[in-house]
Amino acid sequence: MPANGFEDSEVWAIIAYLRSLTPPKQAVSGDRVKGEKIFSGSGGCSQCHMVKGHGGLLGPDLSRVGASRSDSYLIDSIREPSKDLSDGLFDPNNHTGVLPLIYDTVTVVTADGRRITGVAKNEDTFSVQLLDTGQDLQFFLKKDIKEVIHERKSLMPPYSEQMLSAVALQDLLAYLESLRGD
Amino acid sequence: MKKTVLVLGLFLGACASAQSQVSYERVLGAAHEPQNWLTYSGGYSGWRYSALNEINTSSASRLTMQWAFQVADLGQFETTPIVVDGVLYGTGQNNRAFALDARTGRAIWRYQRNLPDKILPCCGMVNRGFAILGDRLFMATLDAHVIALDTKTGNLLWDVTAADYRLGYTFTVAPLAVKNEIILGASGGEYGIRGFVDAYDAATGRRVWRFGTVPGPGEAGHETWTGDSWKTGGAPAWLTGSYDPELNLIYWPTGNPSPVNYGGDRNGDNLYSDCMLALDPDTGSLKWYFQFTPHDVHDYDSTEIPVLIDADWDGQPRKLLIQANRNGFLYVLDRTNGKFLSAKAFGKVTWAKSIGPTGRPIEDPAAVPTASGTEVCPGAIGLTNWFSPSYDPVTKLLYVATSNECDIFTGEKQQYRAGHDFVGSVEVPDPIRTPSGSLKALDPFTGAEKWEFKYFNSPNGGALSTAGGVVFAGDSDGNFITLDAQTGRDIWHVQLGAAIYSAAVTYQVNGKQYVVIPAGSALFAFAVSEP
Repeated sequence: MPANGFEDSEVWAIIAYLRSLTPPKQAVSGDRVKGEKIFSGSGGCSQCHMVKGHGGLLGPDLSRVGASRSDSYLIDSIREPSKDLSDGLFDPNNHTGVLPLIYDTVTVVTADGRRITGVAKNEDTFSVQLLDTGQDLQFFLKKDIKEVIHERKSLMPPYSEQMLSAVALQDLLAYLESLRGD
Repeated sequence: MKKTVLVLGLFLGACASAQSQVSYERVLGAAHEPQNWLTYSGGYSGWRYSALNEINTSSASRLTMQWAFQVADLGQFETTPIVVDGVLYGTGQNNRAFALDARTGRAIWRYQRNLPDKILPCCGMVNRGFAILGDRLFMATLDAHVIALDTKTGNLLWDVTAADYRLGYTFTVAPLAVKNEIILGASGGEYGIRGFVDAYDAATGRRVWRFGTVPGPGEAGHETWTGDSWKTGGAPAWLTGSYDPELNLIYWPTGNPSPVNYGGDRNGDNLYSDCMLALDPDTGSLKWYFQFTPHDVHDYDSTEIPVLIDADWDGQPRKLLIQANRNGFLYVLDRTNGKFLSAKAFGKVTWAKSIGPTGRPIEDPAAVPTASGTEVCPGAIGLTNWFSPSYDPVTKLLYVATSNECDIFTGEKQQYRAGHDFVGSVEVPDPIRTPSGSLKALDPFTGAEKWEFKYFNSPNGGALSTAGGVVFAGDSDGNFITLDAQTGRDIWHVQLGAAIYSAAVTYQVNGKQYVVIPAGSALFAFAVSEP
């Protein structure tokens, strides 16, 4: 895509046009109540995801996910959770800086060979900070450890059709759709 | 009456103090007064090296913060302060400026330029520092003016317009004071400017000469542009050059041609983009040039600091110019005539297979950006970039901050519109490999790597080496680091909480050595605590 030099007013006109192309959300065919049970029970989702103050800490808080994500994005996130490993917030004043990956799986190998896996919280030249699978924060100085392994994939397992049927997926979607921060 | 005259005489004497009178001769002999930092690179040779040694391999582990100065603005803080006899002069984001008591960090004065709304800096509201001459400080501003401030008050002494900011001309460079001239170059390679290097009379602000870096009709080099492409050819000159007083030549590097990622409308070598220019500082006339990246399509600005070293080459004493270039090669030139002597890659390079015997790259045609994207190393930010290298004459090593980022380059025809982006592309970091960086200690003559200190992130901070046997460096995650110059061992580091976008300087007040580094919105000063 070539760079452009649009005026601000032109940029806003383009944004308005693009927004007009977004189809309204289709009603999901699943059962919201069944979906909530999957989320909190058999699916194990709430072990890692929080909704309205209840649930785990490893994954993103989903209290408003129905308002912020499309159905197709939610399906991808369930079936292929590593497909879109989001970049961290872009700092416009650090145009050459590396964007940290959010929810990247990181394993620290300690000096005595223990492997501690978790979600990356931060890292720099001298230290690394992660939330481990036991949902405890762990901080390490790199001089004290053997290795930091970045897997560039999500800790969340992909929910195949064997694990979550197409019907159950629709139920789960109906529940997630209903989460709008109300 | 006699007493009154005496008191008045004392007062006048105090006002006429030599405290901040910095003559050309003092800048020329900057190496002889290491207690000060008199020009962007610390001296005309571009070494960014200090003879101070109180902070050394034994004492650096006891560095403690002495003061912090808050600029009170946001954005990349890229200044290299000037320090003269206990006073520190710096520039900040949005063309702020300040003078400080260098021992305490307390402000003497502050200045801020009223900038117009529609200025077009490509990469942040940055400024890299002052030049000083006499009792005046010189700043090149984001709205393409050149101004002179009084050292004691910050009062504006003169203000001249150099170019039209509405067309994308900006200044971010720290000027170079040579004799009675203030030399600087334009930014704006992303907006289709025609670049230039200017010299201004320090006393009046009158422009003494201009060297246009994109030759017009009838000028040598014009034939390297097709059609009207020269009118929007870029070739900015946005970093500070070096100077050899014996040869009376300034060495001023230039940046990319415009539009940088699409070359289909500017066939030819596109002189004098991505060049080292050897200019007569008295007249601005071109003595020689060397082009590192002809017909650049990857944004490989050659604006990195020229490092001037006298050394034997093939058994003969030579006056050399060394440049760690953004295109990934470390070049050695004969600075008397621009003759190419050698080039060696100092990281992963895929755009060129090698550099030929005349210095011309042997390019990989598959590396040309396409509409669908081409992965090329180094990426658009280069193997290195504007952040200063440092040359230590004791270790005889050149310290260079490097990035291993590769990018997916796209290139497509773009119509020029005055005052708008004109780059013909987007550049997207390769999504597969996370870029990181390092500080490398290189043999400046062979390019051999002596050691490497790895950074987690691509750096934006440069290097400072000293007679204490240490190298000061900074990473993009906010760590200010002191390394052993011989081995690269981390002696001491501190987390300053924001990316470091400059290189440190060092100075001495009352026998105590300080080292200062900008990070985030603050300038931090460190010194050795008592054992």
